[in-house]
Amino acid sequence: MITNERQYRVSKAQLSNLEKAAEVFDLDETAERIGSKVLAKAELEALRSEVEILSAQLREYEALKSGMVTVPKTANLDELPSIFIRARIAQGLSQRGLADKLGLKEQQIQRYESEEYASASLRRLSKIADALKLSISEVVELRQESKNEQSATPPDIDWSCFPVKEMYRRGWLADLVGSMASAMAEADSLARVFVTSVIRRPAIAMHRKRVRSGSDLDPYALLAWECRVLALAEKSPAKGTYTHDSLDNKWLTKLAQESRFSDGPMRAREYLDKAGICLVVEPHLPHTHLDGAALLHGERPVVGLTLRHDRLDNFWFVLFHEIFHIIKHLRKGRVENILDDMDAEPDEFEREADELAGRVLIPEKDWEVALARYVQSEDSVNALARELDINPAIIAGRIRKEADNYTILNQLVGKGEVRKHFPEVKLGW
Amino acid sequence: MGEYQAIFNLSSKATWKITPLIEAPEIGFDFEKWKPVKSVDDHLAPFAKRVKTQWQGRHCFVDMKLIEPSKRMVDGQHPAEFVFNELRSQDCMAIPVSGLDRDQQYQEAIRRAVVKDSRGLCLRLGIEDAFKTTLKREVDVLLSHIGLQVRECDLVLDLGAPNFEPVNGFAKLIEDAIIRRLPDLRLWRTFTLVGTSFPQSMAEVKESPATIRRSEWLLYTMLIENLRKTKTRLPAFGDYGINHPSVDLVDWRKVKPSAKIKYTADDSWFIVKGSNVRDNKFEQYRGLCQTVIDSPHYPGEDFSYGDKYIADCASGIGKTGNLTTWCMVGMNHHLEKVVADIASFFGSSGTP
Repeated sequence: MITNERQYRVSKAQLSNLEKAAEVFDLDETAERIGSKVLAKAELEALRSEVEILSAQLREYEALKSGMVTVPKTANLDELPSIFIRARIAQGLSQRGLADKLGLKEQQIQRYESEEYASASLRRLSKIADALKLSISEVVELRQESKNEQSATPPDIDWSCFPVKEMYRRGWLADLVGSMASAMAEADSLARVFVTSVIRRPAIAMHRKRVRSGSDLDPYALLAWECRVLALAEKSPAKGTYTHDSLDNKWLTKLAQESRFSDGPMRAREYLDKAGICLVVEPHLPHTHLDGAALLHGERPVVGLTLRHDRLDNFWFVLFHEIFHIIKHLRKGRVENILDDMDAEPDEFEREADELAGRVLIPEKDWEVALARYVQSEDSVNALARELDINPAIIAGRIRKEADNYTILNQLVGKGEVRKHFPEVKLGW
Repeated sequence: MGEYQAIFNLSSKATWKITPLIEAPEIGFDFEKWKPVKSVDDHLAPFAKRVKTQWQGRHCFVDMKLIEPSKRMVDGQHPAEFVFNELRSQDCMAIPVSGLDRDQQYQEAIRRAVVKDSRGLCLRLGIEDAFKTTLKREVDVLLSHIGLQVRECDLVLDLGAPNFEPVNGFAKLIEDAIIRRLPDLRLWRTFTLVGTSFPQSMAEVKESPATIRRSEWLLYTMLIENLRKTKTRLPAFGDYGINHPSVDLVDWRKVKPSAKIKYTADDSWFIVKGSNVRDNKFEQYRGLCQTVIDSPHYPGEDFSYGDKYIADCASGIGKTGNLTTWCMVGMNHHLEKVVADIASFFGSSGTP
């Protein structure tokens, strides 16, 4: 989410660059250069999806600023931070403006917003609500209302929009219905049963999630996928008991080292299981280009992976990315700030998780002077992997990402080395 | 060819400050007949004479690594032996280049040349060679086979075309993990660091004019500052001119080369591109030259032969040249520019 003018300007410039790049993108020429039409297309797709994500964020900010949209009411305290941020923007208040009203420094507001008010005291929250002229009592009232209405269909869910055909094809509805024809005949009610058996308040769930997405993402498909992952997690819950404090650096390093083994992805699942985190693999649904998600099933964290790219580098990177969401973002306020950057851009959760994931897999001090980073040869990557006790795919993936060149070190990224460990997933890929 | 002529047109000041490392070019490929264009004999026949014409009797390093190791002259002679015999008969002061990655026959051919010429050897070490834990032993074995002492040899640390980013990390790596660990660092006759950030293909250069970081120069100056603090031996500077080290065999039937000027600036490459020369000819070079002149990078027509050529072309007095000419123009400016930059970087303290 864009929360201030500076980010707005930066994002806008970025968007125009990306749009230009997408416009002049020559598919044939790129295909010839990298030797694959599929890869060239993927490159273009990636570019376009970035354009969409950015323009959606820009549109939201613009809409809020213009006063054209009203900030929604919420029944859920979890949404309070996002309501605060939106209300501030909608009232034309800058971060500094709000800070001034409260007698605080601008950086303090920046910090609050970047961590979603995790460290703010109740008294501070109440003052901020006052400054933004928000009525907290309304929240409480709303919650009572929605409790009364629990059995009723939330008004803004259109049950006919779920991809029931695909859900049926994948066997998600096997417990509920027989043939495809009968499934399609009662598609709406099937979708409702499927969703509400996992999530009690789907309308809220639909808004509550933080999606790194563009406007073309189908929210119904997303919700369906989320429910499926949670349902699977319910079926085979993790054996261990999750405690937040157990996910320390030592735990993370050991997990990274599991990557050395050829059955690393399996080992990762077991390792997470012992720590009380359920790892679920479920291919993404059409119109949801997801790599993974960090979810909460009640109090228990669940990592959902789509294995959209059947490559080891991608598996480990996405896995750690989601784990950092669990540590840093899903349970706010209980973690010490790992990044000590006072100027951290607000709402850069994704970037933060990316960075942390990169750092735990390959420590910065090693990466800075790693021969592999500079010569980018297979030998040097293998040597560094031995030294760090991790899979070479992780290093190769990092090099490709930094160089923005997905044609190099092809032999090392572990193509086809992930999905095969999850034979129970048969459909979707 | 452009490189040869660039050297030919150098000022005498630059000439004496440069030691070229000349690679005998690889044999071209005829895509129509699907075989090499020439026999190795025909290919190498004019090589020594060309070196003599352009570089006269001054010292130069000559490397035969681009000739396929299995190739032999029609009489069975190793191409390296043939070339050094030819260079000798032309009175060229060529110093043979070898490395740890060459096969035994190559080393043997080099050994014979070294024995006949008594001019020593240039050892060209790749960055990964230099990183090996067995480096000292391998160097000792090679030098003793050839029958030379370290002080009779030149050391070239060749980074090739690596990723330079982040430059300070790379500088630290080269300093701590390589230069400080090089065997007998103080004893080598000369010591040079070579590398390039020049783009591999002009197709990578999307906009025109484009400014691309000249990272090898940034790296070099950073490294020198660091090495000075610890009184470590300072390497001399070397690069690949306005070229990328890996040359792909190109099927010229399918490629329409575009007009371009590759122009070396302080910390960057300034690249001005036009459209393809087959359809749009060379007249477009007048405009490209004007772009160079209008840029902040152009030091004036007196700076070098290449810069004069650019001025004359822009004003309409001079010719518009051909692709080889423009390669020469860029290279000539580059060599003069680098010689001048090194002199001003080291100031009165003198070059290493």
